[in-house]
Amino acid sequence: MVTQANVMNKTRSGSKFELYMWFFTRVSGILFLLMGAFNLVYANLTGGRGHLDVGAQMRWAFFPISFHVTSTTVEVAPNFSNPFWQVYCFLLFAFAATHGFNGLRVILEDYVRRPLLLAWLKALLAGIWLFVLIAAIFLIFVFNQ
Amino acid sequence: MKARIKIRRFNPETDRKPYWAEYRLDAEPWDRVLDVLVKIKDYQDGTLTFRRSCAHGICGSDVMVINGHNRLACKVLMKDVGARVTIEPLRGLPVIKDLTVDMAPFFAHYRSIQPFLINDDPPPYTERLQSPEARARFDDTTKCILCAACTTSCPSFWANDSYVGPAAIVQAHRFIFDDRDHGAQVRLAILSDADGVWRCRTIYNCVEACPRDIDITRAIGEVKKTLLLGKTA
Repeated sequence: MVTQANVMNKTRSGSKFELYMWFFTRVSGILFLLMGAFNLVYANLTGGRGHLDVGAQMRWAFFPISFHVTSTTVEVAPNFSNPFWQVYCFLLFAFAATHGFNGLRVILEDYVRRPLLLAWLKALLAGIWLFVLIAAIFLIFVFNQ
Repeated sequence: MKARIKIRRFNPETDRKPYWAEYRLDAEPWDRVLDVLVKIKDYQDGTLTFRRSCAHGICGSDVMVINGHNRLACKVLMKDVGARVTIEPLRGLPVIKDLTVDMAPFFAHYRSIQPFLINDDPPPYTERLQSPEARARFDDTTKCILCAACTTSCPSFWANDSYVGPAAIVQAHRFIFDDRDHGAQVRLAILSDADGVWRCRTIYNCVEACPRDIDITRAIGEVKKTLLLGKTA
Protein backbone atom coordinates (compact mmCIF):
# COMPACT_ATOMS: atom_id res chain seq x y z
CA MET A 1 0.00 0.00 0.00
CA VAL A 2 1.12 3.52 -0.73
CA THR A 3 2.03 5.49 2.39
CA GLN A 4 2.87 9.12 3.00
CA ALA A 5 6.54 8.26 3.51
CA ASN A 6 7.05 6.31 0.30
CA VAL A 7 5.25 8.91 -1.83
CA MET A 8 7.22 11.82 -0.40
CA ASN A 9 10.60 10.07 -0.30
CA LYS A 10 10.30 8.56 -3.76
CA THR A 11 13.34 9.37 -5.85
CA ARG A 12 12.28 11.06 -9.05
CA SER A 13 14.59 10.38 -11.94
CA GLY A 14 13.79 13.61 -13.77
CA SER A 15 13.84 11.52 -16.95
CA LYS A 16 11.82 12.84 -19.86
CA PHE A 17 11.46 9.36 -21.38
CA GLU A 18 7.74 9.06 -20.57
CA LEU A 19 7.09 12.53 -22.00
CA TYR A 20 8.89 11.70 -25.25
CA MET A 21 7.17 8.31 -25.59
CA TRP A 22 3.78 9.92 -24.97
CA PHE A 23 4.46 12.48 -27.69
CA PHE A 24 5.91 9.83 -30.02
CA THR A 25 2.78 7.70 -29.60
CA ARG A 26 0.56 10.57 -30.75
CA VAL A 27 2.76 11.58 -33.67
CA SER A 28 3.56 8.06 -34.89
CA GLY A 29 -0.11 7.05 -34.68
CA ILE A 30 -1.08 9.83 -37.06
CA LEU A 31 2.02 9.45 -39.25
CA PHE A 32 1.76 5.76 -39.97
CA LEU A 33 -1.86 6.09 -41.02
CA LEU A 34 -1.03 9.00 -43.32
CA MET A 35 2.03 7.21 -44.70
CA GLY A 36 -0.01 4.05 -45.26
CA ALA A 37 -2.70 6.03 -47.05
CA PHE A 38 -0.07 7.66 -49.25
CA ASN A 39 1.42 4.25 -50.11
CA LEU A 40 -2.00 3.00 -51.06
CA VAL A 41 -2.73 5.97 -53.30
CA TYR A 42 0.68 5.70 -54.96
CA ALA A 43 0.34 1.95 -55.58
CA ASN A 44 -3.05 2.52 -57.21
CA LEU A 45 -1.85 5.45 -59.31
CA THR A 46 1.11 3.45 -60.63
CA GLY A 47 -0.94 0.58 -61.93
CA GLY A 48 -2.50 -1.27 -59.03
CA ARG A 49 -5.96 0.08 -59.68
CA GLY A 50 -8.43 -2.66 -60.50
CA HIS A 51 -5.86 -5.41 -60.15
CA LEU A 52 -5.07 -5.63 -56.44
CA ASP A 53 -7.45 -7.38 -54.08
CA VAL A 54 -8.12 -5.98 -50.61
CA GLY A 55 -5.41 -8.07 -48.95
CA ALA A 56 -2.79 -6.96 -51.43
CA GLN A 57 -3.92 -3.35 -51.09
CA MET A 58 -3.40 -3.55 -47.33
CA ARG A 59 0.02 -5.17 -47.73
CA TRP A 60 0.99 -2.39 -50.11
CA ALA A 61 -0.31 0.21 -47.71
CA PHE A 62 1.66 -0.91 -44.70
CA PHE A 63 4.54 -3.02 -45.95
CA PRO A 64 5.17 -2.38 -49.65
CA ILE A 65 8.00 -4.67 -50.60
CA SER A 66 8.04 -6.03 -54.09
CA PHE A 67 7.68 -9.77 -53.41
CA HIS A 68 4.47 -9.15 -51.49
CA VAL A 69 2.61 -8.77 -54.75
CA THR A 70 4.51 -11.09 -57.08
CA SER A 71 1.39 -13.23 -57.26
CA THR A 72 -0.62 -10.38 -58.77
CA THR A 73 -0.45 -9.42 -62.39
CA VAL A 74 0.41 -5.80 -61.72
CA GLU A 75 3.76 -4.22 -62.46
CA VAL A 76 3.80 -2.13 -59.31
CA ALA A 77 6.84 -3.66 -57.72
CA PRO A 78 9.55 -1.82 -59.70
CA ASN A 79 8.06 1.48 -58.63
CA PHE A 80 8.88 0.65 -55.02
CA SER A 81 12.33 -0.82 -55.59
CA ASN A 82 14.31 2.33 -55.08
CA PRO A 83 16.01 3.82 -51.99
CA PHE A 84 13.33 6.45 -51.38
CA TRP A 85 10.52 3.93 -51.06
CA GLN A 86 12.75 1.54 -49.12
CA VAL A 87 13.54 4.20 -46.51
CA TYR A 88 9.91 5.33 -46.52
CA CYS A 89 8.74 1.77 -46.00
CA PHE A 90 11.24 1.17 -43.21
CA LEU A 91 10.17 4.36 -41.41
CA LEU A 92 6.52 3.36 -41.69
CA PHE A 93 7.28 -0.05 -40.24
CA ALA A 94 9.53 1.37 -37.50
CA PHE A 95 6.85 3.87 -36.42
CA ALA A 96 4.18 1.19 -36.27
CA ALA A 97 6.37 -1.37 -34.45
CA THR A 98 7.72 1.12 -31.91
CA HIS A 99 4.21 2.48 -31.31
CA GLY A 100 2.89 -1.00 -30.65
CA PHE A 101 5.79 -2.22 -28.53
CA ASN A 102 5.63 0.94 -26.44
CA GLY A 103 1.96 0.16 -25.84
CA LEU A 104 2.91 -3.30 -24.59
CA ARG A 105 5.56 -1.74 -22.32
CA VAL A 106 2.93 0.57 -20.86
CA ILE A 107 0.60 -2.37 -20.15
CA LEU A 108 3.46 -4.26 -18.46
CA GLU A 109 4.26 -1.24 -16.28
CA ASP A 110 0.63 -0.95 -15.25
CA TYR A 111 0.03 -4.56 -14.33
CA VAL A 112 3.32 -6.25 -13.43
CA ARG A 113 4.00 -5.43 -9.80
CA ARG A 114 7.19 -7.44 -9.17
CA PRO A 115 10.17 -5.22 -10.11
CA LEU A 116 12.49 -8.07 -11.16
CA LEU A 117 9.85 -9.75 -13.33
CA LEU A 118 8.99 -6.35 -14.85
CA ALA A 119 12.65 -5.72 -15.70
CA TRP A 120 12.95 -9.15 -17.36
CA LEU A 121 9.72 -8.73 -19.33
CA LYS A 122 10.77 -5.26 -20.50
CA ALA A 123 14.15 -6.62 -21.58
CA LEU A 124 12.41 -9.42 -23.48
CA LEU A 125 10.09 -6.89 -25.11
CA ALA A 126 13.03 -4.67 -26.10
CA GLY A 127 14.72 -7.77 -27.58
CA ILE A 128 11.69 -8.67 -29.70
CA TRP A 129 11.33 -5.04 -30.79
CA LEU A 130 14.98 -4.96 -31.94
CA PHE A 131 14.53 -8.31 -33.68
CA VAL A 132 11.54 -7.14 -35.73
CA LEU A 133 13.34 -3.92 -36.68
CA ILE A 134 16.41 -5.87 -37.84
CA ALA A 135 14.17 -8.33 -39.68
CA ALA A 136 12.48 -5.38 -41.40
CA ILE A 137 15.83 -3.91 -42.45
CA PHE A 138 16.83 -7.29 -43.87
CA LEU A 139 13.55 -7.75 -45.74
CA ILE A 140 13.40 -4.25 -47.15
CA PHE A 141 17.03 -3.47 -47.98
CA VAL A 142 18.74 -6.84 -48.44
CA PHE A 143 16.20 -9.47 -49.42
CA ASN A 144 14.17 -7.16 -51.64
CA GLN A 145 14.99 -7.78 -55.32
CA MET B 1 -41.37 3.07 -2.45
CA LYS B 2 -40.31 -0.34 -1.16
CA ALA B 3 -36.55 -0.21 -1.35
CA ARG B 4 -34.21 -3.18 -1.42
CA ILE B 5 -30.68 -2.14 -0.53
CA LYS B 6 -27.75 -4.51 -1.03
CA ILE B 7 -24.60 -3.45 0.77
CA ARG B 8 -21.16 -5.04 0.50
CA ARG B 9 -20.07 -5.37 4.11
CA PHE B 10 -16.82 -6.36 5.74
CA ASN B 11 -15.65 -6.28 9.33
CA PRO B 12 -11.97 -7.23 9.48
CA GLU B 13 -12.34 -8.33 13.12
CA THR B 14 -15.01 -10.95 12.48
CA ASP B 15 -15.28 -11.62 8.73
CA ARG B 16 -12.83 -13.57 6.63
CA LYS B 17 -14.08 -11.97 3.44
CA PRO B 18 -16.63 -9.34 2.35
CA TYR B 19 -20.28 -10.40 1.99
CA TRP B 20 -23.54 -8.89 0.69
CA ALA B 21 -26.12 -7.82 3.24
CA GLU B 22 -29.65 -7.00 2.13
CA TYR B 23 -32.01 -4.54 3.77
CA ARG B 24 -35.66 -3.83 2.94
CA LEU B 25 -37.34 -0.64 4.04
CA ASP B 26 -39.79 2.05 3.00
CA ALA B 27 -38.20 5.03 1.34
CA GLU B 28 -39.58 8.20 -0.19
CA PRO B 29 -38.64 8.97 -3.80
CA TRP B 30 -37.08 12.25 -2.65
CA ASP B 31 -34.96 10.49 -0.02
CA ARG B 32 -31.27 10.61 -0.72
CA VAL B 33 -29.33 7.33 -0.66
CA LEU B 34 -27.61 8.74 2.44
CA ASP B 35 -31.01 9.11 4.19
CA VAL B 36 -31.71 5.45 3.47
CA LEU B 37 -28.33 4.40 4.88
CA VAL B 38 -28.99 6.46 8.02
CA LYS B 39 -32.41 4.81 8.37
CA ILE B 40 -30.82 1.36 8.12
CA LYS B 41 -28.19 2.27 10.69
CA ASP B 42 -30.75 3.84 13.08
CA TYR B 43 -33.54 1.28 12.85
CA GLN B 44 -32.20 -1.99 11.44
CA ASP B 45 -28.49 -2.52 11.99
CA GLY B 46 -26.39 -0.20 14.11
CA THR B 47 -23.18 -1.94 13.08
CA LEU B 48 -23.39 -0.63 9.50
CA THR B 49 -20.42 1.69 9.03
CA PHE B 50 -20.06 4.56 6.57
CA ARG B 51 -18.68 8.10 6.55
CA ARG B 52 -20.82 11.20 6.28
CA SER B 53 -20.21 14.70 7.51
CA CYS B 54 -21.93 17.69 5.92
CA ALA B 55 -24.46 15.59 3.98
CA HIS B 56 -24.81 18.40 1.44
CA GLY B 57 -22.31 17.50 -1.29
CA ILE B 58 -19.45 19.68 -0.09
CA CYS B 59 -17.30 17.69 2.35
CA GLY B 60 -17.02 14.71 0.03
CA SER B 61 -16.87 12.10 2.80
CA ASP B 62 -19.79 9.87 1.74
CA VAL B 63 -18.61 8.87 -1.72
CA MET B 64 -19.33 5.20 -2.42
CA VAL B 65 -20.06 2.92 -5.35
CA ILE B 66 -23.83 3.20 -5.90
CA ASN B 67 -25.20 0.86 -8.59
CA GLY B 68 -21.71 0.61 -10.03
CA HIS B 69 -20.97 4.33 -10.19
CA ASN B 70 -18.88 6.41 -7.80
CA ARG B 71 -21.41 8.81 -6.30
CA LEU B 72 -21.89 10.99 -3.23
CA ALA B 73 -24.69 9.28 -1.28
CA CYS B 74 -25.92 12.74 -0.21
CA LYS B 75 -26.40 13.90 -3.82
CA VAL B 76 -28.24 10.87 -5.24
CA LEU B 77 -32.02 10.63 -4.86
CA MET B 78 -33.81 7.29 -4.53
CA LYS B 79 -36.08 8.16 -7.47
CA ASP B 80 -32.98 8.41 -9.67
CA VAL B 81 -31.44 5.06 -8.69
CA GLY B 82 -34.63 3.02 -8.38
CA ALA B 83 -35.91 0.76 -5.65
CA ARG B 84 -33.11 -1.77 -5.97
CA VAL B 85 -29.80 -0.26 -4.96
CA THR B 86 -26.39 -1.88 -4.69
CA ILE B 87 -23.81 -0.10 -2.57
CA GLU B 88 -20.11 -0.98 -2.33
CA PRO B 89 -17.05 0.70 -0.81
CA LEU B 90 -14.72 2.62 -3.13
CA ARG B 91 -12.43 0.51 -5.29
CA GLY B 92 -8.66 0.80 -5.17
CA LEU B 93 -8.38 1.79 -1.50
CA PRO B 94 -8.19 -0.64 1.45
CA VAL B 95 -11.51 -1.21 3.23
CA ILE B 96 -11.43 -0.39 6.95
CA LYS B 97 -14.99 -1.51 7.62
CA ASP B 98 -18.12 -1.80 5.45
CA LEU B 99 -18.28 1.37 3.30
CA THR B 100 -15.38 3.10 5.03
CA VAL B 101 -12.07 3.01 3.15
CA ASP B 102 -8.60 4.06 4.18
CA MET B 103 -8.03 7.43 2.49
CA ALA B 104 -4.36 7.66 3.56
CA PRO B 105 -2.89 6.62 0.16
CA PHE B 106 -5.18 9.13 -1.57
CA PHE B 107 -4.07 12.00 0.66
CA ALA B 108 -0.43 10.92 0.40
CA HIS B 109 -0.64 11.50 -3.36
CA TYR B 110 -2.51 14.77 -2.77
CA ARG B 111 0.26 16.07 -0.47
CA SER B 112 2.97 14.98 -2.91
CA ILE B 113 2.01 17.69 -5.43
CA GLN B 114 2.42 20.44 -2.78
CA PRO B 115 -1.18 21.71 -2.71
CA PHE B 116 -0.51 25.17 -1.27
CA LEU B 117 0.43 28.61 -2.60
CA ILE B 118 4.15 28.89 -3.32
CA ASN B 119 5.14 32.54 -3.61
CA ASP B 120 8.27 34.00 -2.06
CA ASP B 121 7.42 37.61 -2.98
CA PRO B 122 6.80 39.75 0.12
CA PRO B 123 3.03 39.85 0.72
CA PRO B 124 1.42 43.14 -0.35
CA TYR B 125 -0.36 45.36 2.18
CA THR B 126 -3.82 44.06 1.36
CA GLU B 127 -3.97 40.95 -0.79
CA ARG B 128 -2.43 39.38 -3.89
CA LEU B 129 -4.68 40.76 -6.59
CA GLN B 130 -5.64 38.74 -9.68
CA SER B 131 -7.58 39.65 -12.80
CA PRO B 132 -10.91 37.90 -13.44
CA GLU B 133 -9.40 36.39 -16.61
CA ALA B 134 -6.43 34.96 -14.73
CA ARG B 135 -8.82 33.57 -12.11
CA ALA B 136 -11.01 31.99 -14.79
CA ARG B 137 -7.99 30.08 -16.15
CA PHE B 138 -8.14 27.53 -13.33
CA ASP B 139 -11.71 28.02 -12.15
CA ASP B 140 -12.85 24.50 -13.04
CA THR B 141 -10.23 22.77 -10.88
CA THR B 142 -10.96 24.95 -7.82
CA LYS B 143 -14.27 23.07 -7.48
CA CYS B 144 -12.60 19.85 -6.28
CA ILE B 145 -13.76 18.66 -2.83
CA LEU B 146 -11.20 15.81 -2.53
CA CYS B 147 -13.86 13.12 -2.25
CA ALA B 148 -11.66 10.61 -4.20
CA ALA B 149 -14.51 9.64 -6.54
CA CYS B 150 -12.27 10.26 -9.57
CA THR B 151 -9.13 8.53 -8.34
CA THR B 152 -11.03 5.45 -7.17
CA SER B 153 -12.87 5.18 -10.51
CA CYS B 154 -9.59 5.20 -12.45
CA PRO B 155 -8.49 1.79 -13.83
CA SER B 156 -4.89 3.05 -14.00
CA PHE B 157 -5.05 3.69 -10.25
CA TRP B 158 -6.69 0.30 -9.58
CA ALA B 159 -3.89 -1.39 -11.50
CA ASN B 160 -1.08 0.59 -9.91
CA ASP B 161 -1.61 2.63 -6.76
CA SER B 162 1.71 4.42 -7.14
CA TYR B 163 -0.02 6.50 -9.86
CA VAL B 164 -0.60 9.98 -8.44
CA GLY B 165 -4.25 9.86 -9.58
CA PRO B 166 -6.66 12.33 -11.18
CA ALA B 167 -7.57 14.20 -7.97
CA ALA B 168 -3.96 15.11 -7.23
CA ILE B 169 -3.46 16.24 -10.84
CA VAL B 170 -6.60 18.39 -10.62
CA GLN B 171 -5.23 19.99 -7.45
CA ALA B 172 -1.82 20.53 -9.10
CA HIS B 173 -3.59 22.11 -12.11
CA ARG B 174 -5.35 24.51 -9.73
CA PHE B 175 -1.92 25.91 -8.67
CA ILE B 176 0.08 25.46 -11.89
CA PHE B 177 -2.29 27.77 -13.79
CA ASP B 178 -2.70 30.29 -10.94
CA ASP B 179 -0.59 33.35 -11.84
CA ARG B 180 -0.08 34.17 -8.13
CA ASP B 181 1.73 30.88 -7.65
CA HIS B 182 5.42 30.41 -8.45
CA GLY B 183 5.74 26.69 -7.81
CA ALA B 184 4.63 25.43 -11.20
CA GLN B 185 8.04 24.00 -12.12
CA VAL B 186 8.24 22.00 -8.88
CA ARG B 187 4.78 20.49 -9.46
CA LEU B 188 5.40 19.86 -13.15
CA ALA B 189 8.60 18.02 -12.26
CA ILE B 190 6.62 15.76 -9.91
CA LEU B 191 3.89 15.15 -12.50
CA SER B 192 6.35 14.39 -15.32
CA ASP B 193 7.52 11.31 -13.42
CA ALA B 194 6.52 7.85 -14.66
CA ASP B 195 3.88 7.76 -11.88
CA GLY B 196 2.65 11.24 -12.78
CA VAL B 197 0.32 12.34 -15.60
CA TRP B 198 1.66 9.77 -18.08
CA ARG B 199 -0.23 6.94 -16.36
CA CYS B 200 -3.46 8.66 -17.45
CA ARG B 201 -4.83 6.72 -20.44
CA THR B 202 -7.74 9.12 -21.04
CA ILE B 203 -10.34 6.55 -19.97
CA TYR B 204 -12.70 9.36 -18.81
CA ASN B 205 -14.03 7.39 -15.80
CA CYS B 206 -12.95 10.30 -13.60
CA VAL B 207 -15.09 12.78 -15.53
CA GLU B 208 -18.11 10.49 -15.22
CA ALA B 209 -17.51 10.04 -11.48
CA CYS B 210 -16.84 13.64 -10.44
CA PRO B 211 -19.75 14.96 -8.32
CA ARG B 212 -18.56 18.51 -9.05
CA ASP B 213 -18.63 18.07 -12.83
CA ILE B 214 -14.97 18.98 -13.22
CA ASP B 215 -13.61 18.32 -16.69
CA ILE B 216 -10.77 16.26 -15.23
CA THR B 217 -9.40 14.67 -18.39
CA ARG B 218 -9.16 18.14 -19.95
CA ALA B 219 -7.21 19.38 -16.90
CA ILE B 220 -4.84 16.40 -17.14
CA GLY B 221 -4.48 17.06 -20.87
CA GLU B 222 -3.55 20.68 -20.15
CA VAL B 223 -0.85 19.54 -17.73
CA LYS B 224 0.50 17.09 -20.35
CA LYS B 225 0.52 19.84 -22.97
CA THR B 226 2.33 22.19 -20.59
CA LEU B 227 4.95 19.52 -19.89
CA LEU B 228 5.49 19.13 -23.63
CA LEU B 229 5.41 22.75 -24.77
CA GLY B 230 6.33 24.65 -21.59
CA LYS B 231 4.06 26.94 -19.63
CA THR B 232 2.12 29.19 -21.96
CA ALA B 233 -0.53 30.83 -19.79
